[in-house]
Amino acid sequence: MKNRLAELRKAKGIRQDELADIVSVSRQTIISLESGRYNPSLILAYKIARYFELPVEQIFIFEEDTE
Amino acid sequence: MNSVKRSLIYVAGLLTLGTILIVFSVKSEGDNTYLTGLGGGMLGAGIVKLIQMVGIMKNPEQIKRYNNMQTEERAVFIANKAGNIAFSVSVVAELAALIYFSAKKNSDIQDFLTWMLCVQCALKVILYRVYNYKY
Repeated sequence: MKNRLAELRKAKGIRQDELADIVSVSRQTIISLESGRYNPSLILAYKIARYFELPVEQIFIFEEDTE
Repeated sequence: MNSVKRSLIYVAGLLTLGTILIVFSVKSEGDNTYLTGLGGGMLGAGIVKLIQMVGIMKNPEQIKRYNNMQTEERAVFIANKAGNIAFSVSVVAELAALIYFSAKKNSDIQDFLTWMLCVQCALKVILYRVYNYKY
């Protein structure tokens, strides 16, 4: 699943480890999320969306929607 | 129970078991160098883990990060995946060993391996059913 996590994080001016602390995961998880190697659970996706104050669909893009 | 407490229990277990193995191997007769090695390894691992935990416990931020790293979903996902593959590989390896020792007509090891395989596979099936029902 593609996502805009890296773009949104940089726009907000926070580091990966800071975002990791905010959503209670490790920095490795943020790295894996941003590179698309790992997809978040619903709870983690909502935590991230709540932090960025955006709907989940605007951060995590389900593949079919991009075609 | 949080991850720090769980890790401390694990450290205590390692140190205790390592000490018991070493004491047992020293006091018992015969060639027990493998027990000494095993006990020494456990003791060493316990000491290293204890030093790590002492460092973590001094800082509340580190405690929070450690708890996150142990309980976060990606770590659990990776541990489950690794555990499943390790289980499958170990069953195949035991089966290969069973065939080998059957050919060598070593009935003691054959019996032991057969029971091990049965218990492992039965446990996996039972646990799958339990969690399937629970979730």
